[in-house]
Amino acid sequence: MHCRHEIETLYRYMDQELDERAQVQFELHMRDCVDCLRRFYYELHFQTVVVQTLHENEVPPTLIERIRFALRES
Amino acid sequence: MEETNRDDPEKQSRIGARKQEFEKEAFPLMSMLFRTALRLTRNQHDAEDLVQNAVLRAYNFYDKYQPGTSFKAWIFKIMTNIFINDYHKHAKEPPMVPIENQEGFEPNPEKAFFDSVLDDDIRKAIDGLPDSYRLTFLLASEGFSYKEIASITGANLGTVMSRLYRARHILQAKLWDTYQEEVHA
Repeated sequence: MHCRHEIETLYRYMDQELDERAQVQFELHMRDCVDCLRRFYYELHFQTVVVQTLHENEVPPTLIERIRFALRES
Repeated sequence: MEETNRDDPEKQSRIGARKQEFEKEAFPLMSMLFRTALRLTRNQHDAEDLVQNAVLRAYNFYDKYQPGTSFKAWIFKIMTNIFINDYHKHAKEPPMVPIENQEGFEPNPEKAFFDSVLDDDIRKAIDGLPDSYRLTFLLASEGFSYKEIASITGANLGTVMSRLYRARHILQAKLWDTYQEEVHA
């Protein structure tokens, strides 16, 4: 079971929001803490799945054309 | 007779160059803007309108953009403002679920349950997030830093971190519920 503080630190690590020292500290911590390491891989998997899903929606070519036309007219 | 802008070749050339410069910055971001708009508005028609309005407004205010700063953050801020002012007002917010009610959820990393969760379940779970959480989560998923998200949404850093934590927690809890329903169906 992780406390909120630990998870927020993990998120900040994954989002590259920790400073260099804190990042190294967290990596050292993960070497010894199986729970945190597992949670890291879990969160990584979650983010990958979400990003893949979001990227499935392509911008409609008709929208690009409409915007190009409106810019030409402005 | 006074010369109009259309008759002034030098001015026309300046406008053309400016337009070209803007298009070079804006068009590569179109997919990113659209997929964020789609999950914000939750429907294709509004998403297309939102992107078009944002891009045209950005073009009209292009002289306010400070070169050297992030154009991506600037145009996303414009789109966010339009969403908050024009779309958010009319949108029906899902009821806010206090985080305390979901504390029982603890993901089990042994089960790679995301593999069995469908893309549609993920989209529905994102769409069900309250607007402020959804917006923060989507911006983070597009690679914006916490500082940039704070600037785009007008929230402070602590609020950004809190919204992101809650959004991820709610999403995982929802997907876990979906997975459980599918397993026991």
